[in-house]
Amino acid sequence: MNLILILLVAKFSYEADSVKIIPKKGLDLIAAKGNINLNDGKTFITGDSALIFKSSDIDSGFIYGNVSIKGEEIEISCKKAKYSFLNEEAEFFENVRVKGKEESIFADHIKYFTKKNFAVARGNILIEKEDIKIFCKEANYDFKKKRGNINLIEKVQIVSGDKEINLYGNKIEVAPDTLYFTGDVRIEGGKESGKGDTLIYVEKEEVAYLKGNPVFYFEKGNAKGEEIELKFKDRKIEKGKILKKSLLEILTEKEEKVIINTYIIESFFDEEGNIKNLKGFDKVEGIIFLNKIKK
Amino acid sequence: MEKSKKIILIFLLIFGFCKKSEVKKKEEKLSGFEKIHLIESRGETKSFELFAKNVVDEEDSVFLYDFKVIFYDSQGVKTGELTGDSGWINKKNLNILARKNVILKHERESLFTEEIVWIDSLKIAKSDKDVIFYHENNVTYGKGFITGKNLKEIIIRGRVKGGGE
Repeated sequence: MNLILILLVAKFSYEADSVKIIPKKGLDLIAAKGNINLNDGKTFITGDSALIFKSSDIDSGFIYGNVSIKGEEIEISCKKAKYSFLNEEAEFFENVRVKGKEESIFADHIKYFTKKNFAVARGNILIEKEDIKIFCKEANYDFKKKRGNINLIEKVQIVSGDKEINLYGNKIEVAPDTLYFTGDVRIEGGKESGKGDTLIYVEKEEVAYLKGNPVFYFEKGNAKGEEIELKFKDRKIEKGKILKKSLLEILTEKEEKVIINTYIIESFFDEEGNIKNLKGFDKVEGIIFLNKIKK
Repeated sequence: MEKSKKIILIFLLIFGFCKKSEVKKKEEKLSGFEKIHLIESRGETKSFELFAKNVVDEEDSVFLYDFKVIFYDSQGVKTGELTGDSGWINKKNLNILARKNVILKHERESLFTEEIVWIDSLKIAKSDKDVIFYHENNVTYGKGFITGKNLKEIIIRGRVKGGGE
């Protein structure tokens, strides 16, 4: 996103098939048509037409059509762009796509404040970063600090091939490598699901922490605890760790409900989402029942 | 004596072909263009003033050497000026063809080219030649242009290039 900064502070030259210049007192209105090309040698902007306002204290304009902005690290495409060199901000409208080194953002509208390296996206937003897809209506992001917040979330998908884990929440705080979900948090992946007041997803470690009355549901039961740690592998929930005051409720093969209360339970799930191994029962009698539920 | 003849000649030629126009003659000194000074007007309002260092009269037009034209709108307000090394003015329609080192000025803007045609009935200027247009600390390059009425706007054609000075 640094290249937008260059775009907004550098002095551009322009090319077009034709331009109409309307000189006013202290202000030039330049309407350019056909194969617009603006560049400062580092950033290249193309479009079908442009409207440029230039004076001693105004340096702004609109670019229309198939707008494309290419820099060394970023590429933006949209149907319409508005820029203001002096206010150091730019707006992108309709089918906006921002393609960075690590992430792509699709939105109806993005406003970018150069001075603060801050972007505000509105409308139908899709943020893609490696295997994570965030669908939402409102997102603010500080590219310098790599922090932001996302509201009006539809869902967050962690996708790999045909497998996906969906995360939900009312609000997401974005930090480097970490997503903090709050408000009606849910996680759904195959036969497992969970809910809680908050969820923390650490991208590099592929771990999610459910907190605040968390409940984790699997095919043969559910788990409650003060905190539930979910470890992903190949976009599936591979391991669940119920921390502190844990309460595991499972159905046996005979459909008998068994409740196990222990301090820490670790469970591993097989391909079908069933528990294939449990740890944390060494000192409780519940181990007997565990043998029975193994398939 | 020679100078006076030329002035009268031009005056008569233009007057003869412009029935609705009242052409007034003046002899003024204006930075190198003191030889000829013609004022073409509609009623009391000036339409344009022409200054030339030398002229050659021909059947339908007058050949101009080292000339300058000042244009006015219908209110008599100056809209711009045109200078060139040589050119022609058509006696019938008062269209002007300016050639070589042609400069068209409008307020703070200046346009440089090798040829400009002024169409008096429309009050527009145009050219198919390479142009350089200076405006608000910017310069725009193109091939061909056409102005709006009274030089209020300009369309530059060709593969137009522009930027800050």
